[in-house]
Amino acid sequence: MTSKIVDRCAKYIFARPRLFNFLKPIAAKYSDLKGYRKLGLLYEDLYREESPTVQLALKRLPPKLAYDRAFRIRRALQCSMTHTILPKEEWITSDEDVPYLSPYIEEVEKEQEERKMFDAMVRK
Amino acid sequence: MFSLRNAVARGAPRQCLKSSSLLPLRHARTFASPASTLPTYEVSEANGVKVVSKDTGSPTASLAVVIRAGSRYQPLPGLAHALEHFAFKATSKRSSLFITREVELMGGILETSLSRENIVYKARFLRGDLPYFVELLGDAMTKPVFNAHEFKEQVIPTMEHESHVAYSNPSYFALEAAHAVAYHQGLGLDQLSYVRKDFATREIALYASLTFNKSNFAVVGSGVPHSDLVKYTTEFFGGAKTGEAADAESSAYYGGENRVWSRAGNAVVIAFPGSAGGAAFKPELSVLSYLLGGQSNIKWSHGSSLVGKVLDKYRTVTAASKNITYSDTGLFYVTVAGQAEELKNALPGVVEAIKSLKNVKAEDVKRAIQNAKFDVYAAAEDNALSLEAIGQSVIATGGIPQIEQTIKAIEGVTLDSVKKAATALLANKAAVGVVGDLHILPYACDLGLTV
Repeated sequence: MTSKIVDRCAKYIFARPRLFNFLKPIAAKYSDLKGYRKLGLLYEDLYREESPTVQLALKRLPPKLAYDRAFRIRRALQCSMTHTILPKEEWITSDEDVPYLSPYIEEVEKEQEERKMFDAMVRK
Repeated sequence: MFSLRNAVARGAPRQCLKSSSLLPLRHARTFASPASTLPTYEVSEANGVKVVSKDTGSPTASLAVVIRAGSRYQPLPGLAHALEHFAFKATSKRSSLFITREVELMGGILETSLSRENIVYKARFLRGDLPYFVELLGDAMTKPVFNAHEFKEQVIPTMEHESHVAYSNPSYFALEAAHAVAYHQGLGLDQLSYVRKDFATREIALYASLTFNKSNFAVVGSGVPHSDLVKYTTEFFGGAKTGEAADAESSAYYGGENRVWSRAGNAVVIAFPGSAGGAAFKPELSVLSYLLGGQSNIKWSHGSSLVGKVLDKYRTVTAASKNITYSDTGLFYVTVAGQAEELKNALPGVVEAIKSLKNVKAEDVKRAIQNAKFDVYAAAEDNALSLEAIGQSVIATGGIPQIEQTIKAIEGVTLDSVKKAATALLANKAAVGVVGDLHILPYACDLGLTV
């Protein structure tokens, strides 16, 4: 899902605790400023879902997660239509903003990789 | 010109046949005599796992894990079917795609089957690939991962499809209906659940953990050296749990009639309590099923078995008789299927044929014994046949009668013992399953059966 450059940057930063500690508050502030949390959304609700990979991952979500996702998106739509944001106590905190979808996306991507690998295999 | 050539050429082919050096044709009738190299079953334990095999010496081999986890042991309808369909899906070592592709590369075949008694995971492969396939089956038994998405995306659709296909076959449906009245609970319940499947991967995993234990399954090989099989089983099945063999409800026989509407076609199953498998097997019942017959051994003929003779007049009607062996009981049955009107006309004759088993003729018994012997030998030679029956016997009794013993038992069947067995059989109430156009198909009591 995430591009390779982003991946590499993230790895670079995680490997250096000082740099990580310096950047973390900035990143947290940035995420807050983006504003999606004030509409009650998680970061992974913003993923572009118009791809077969994400569609399949969404189908694999456990029922509870899928229900919550649909609820959040509806609530955000309602906010957007009425040009309001949620009351402060309903904002998503940074602790709640967890990657709930990416494990499923990664699983699907891994399967696709494996299939590609076998399709391109030559028997020696 | 032509007439001359014809005159010269006439008789040439016949002349060819006569020269015995080219084509030694023997017209003397030779009966099946036991081959000098009959494979023998070897049974042993590898790390607590029961292993049984016969070495036919052929270049291909078969390996099966027979698990006593068929539908009679399932706590929820359809659970055994789902577990069967989870075979060769992801294990903690390999993904299901990995297994598929690898086996394709080795030229192997993976199969599964489900019965009321067992789930069978089976592999057929080239003889040299034995270690790989023992490992594969060992992984399937000891390291299965029951992924929710595989259940949803692969298992459920194939399960639905299979049960739909099965219930579109009136003969299958009628046999299920006969089982229901014959045993009520346990063996009587549906093998595939057509109506209700209320479970998720958690329940399947639980059922697997209950049934995948060392006293509840057997590794059955054919065309493999026994010592090798024991060695690899010790290595790859070592991680299996120890536990108790699955316990089934008692299989009391009731009998009765079950009539079901179906658009798929028409079939009638007439069943009686038969013989259990393994050491308790009664060869008389096997001979009786060949006497009754119905299936044809000769292309385009109904054969001269008792039911075969009846069916000669009816073009669309087919029949088959069999004794299904379970671990503690058996069901002896005849399936008759065909167009409703013709089936209705044929049925009285079929019932007459069943009743005439009590006074069969000696030459018919001889023919049936030959048929029975042929099938036993054919199964012994073949690697892929009868692995389930072998495994079932080994799980239940710890042993399996050798082929020679089975043959001897069949040869020991006499006219009197067949008549006695038939009288005992027909003294029971029948279990009748009728499927199809019930406007036309007759009731069992009208056919002269006691239900």
